[in-house]
Amino acid sequence: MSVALDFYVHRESWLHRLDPRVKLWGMLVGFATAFLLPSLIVQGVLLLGLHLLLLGNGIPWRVLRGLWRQMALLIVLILVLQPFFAPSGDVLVAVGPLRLTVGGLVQAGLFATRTLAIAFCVGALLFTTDQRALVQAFVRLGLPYTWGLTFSLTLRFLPAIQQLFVTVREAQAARGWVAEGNLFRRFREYLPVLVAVIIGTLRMSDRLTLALAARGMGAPAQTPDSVSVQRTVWRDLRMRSTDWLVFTGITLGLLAISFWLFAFKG
Amino acid sequence: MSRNVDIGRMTLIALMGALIFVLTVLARIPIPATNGYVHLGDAAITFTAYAFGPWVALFAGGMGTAMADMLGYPQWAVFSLVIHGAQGLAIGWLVQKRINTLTVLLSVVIGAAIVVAGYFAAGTFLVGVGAATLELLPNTLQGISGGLIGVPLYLAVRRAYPPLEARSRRNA
Repeated sequence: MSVALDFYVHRESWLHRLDPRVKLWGMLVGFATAFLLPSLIVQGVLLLGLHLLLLGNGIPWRVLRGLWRQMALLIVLILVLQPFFAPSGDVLVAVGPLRLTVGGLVQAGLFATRTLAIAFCVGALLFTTDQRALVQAFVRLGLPYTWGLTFSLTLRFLPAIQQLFVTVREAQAARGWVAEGNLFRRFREYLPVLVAVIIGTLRMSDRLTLALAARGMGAPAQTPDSVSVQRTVWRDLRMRSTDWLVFTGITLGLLAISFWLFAFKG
Repeated sequence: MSRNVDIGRMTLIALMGALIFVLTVLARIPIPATNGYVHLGDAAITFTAYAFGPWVALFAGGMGTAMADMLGYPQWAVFSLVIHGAQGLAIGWLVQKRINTLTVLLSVVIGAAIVVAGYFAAGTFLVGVGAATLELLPNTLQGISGGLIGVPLYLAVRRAYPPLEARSRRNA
């Protein structure tokens, strides 16, 4: 099983080209909409809009279906359980203390559509944004570059540590290792595998530290006459007119929601 | 030449984060009685907290589990970042001065309590109290397993890999 954490679907659409900071802002406004407007119609429109946006920008249906499949069990659980925990309004069915009500069903529907809307908001960002661009966006938004580098290193070393884990487990299995019995016995059986994986990871970390130090990582950037200089980047993010336009549209949408909530909902 | 970045700590956070991710996603012990499984991500967080203290555990634990959630449960990622970060921070803080029976017991109980209470609160907010209640038992088992595997794991690694002591002191 491979656990590569790359959801990016390469396309040449306007959404793919959009500045990742604007997409992050859009995702946050999507979250706010899902939480601030508890209406099945609004949540449904948001969900439909996200699907149309992604499909219109070249994300294949199989990718969206994959996300639906991952969410399916949770959605079923919400729809089955939530109505009985928050009964309100007309009673449809009553069995002992359990009451299935219209209000309960509506609330379950709201929780389900909101969860889906949040998942697809995250999907809209991850399916259309390259990992490096996303890390760079966070750094441009104020995250210290060392944190951005730490996150990039984690992504970079996922396959290596996954391979280490699989190799150790297979090597132990070849020597007759098997995790069987009750839960505590299984925990104990896993220890030799985990010890070897952790020691391998720590050695990897030592080598990486040396490699970074050898390349001058962390050394203060100074000119020969000891004047500190700003860090530079190879490819910088720049807001284009389309980015500003979309950013303005999203912000106006948020302001409209806030105004509507303030004026009509108190 | 002075350095303003602790490269050793940075690479440690990055690689322990990756390890926590891998053990969350790949190392799953089936529980035949419930037809479910316990993953070893919490054990890796406990190990990290014991070995490298609260700050490395805070960042590696939060980042590793949030990334693991991205694989199938993206709506939980932010909550996992906070909950497992807090779990690592609390465990690391409890055992950073001394490791004895009391601090070990406290760290296991408090670590598990943070996971159970955190996910219940997040679940009630996100998916409703019904689905959140259903997760109470598996989360309790998951949280306790973190301590039950993580503490012996730390002791075993410390025995098998003496340089761990020096690294622990450096990063505490």
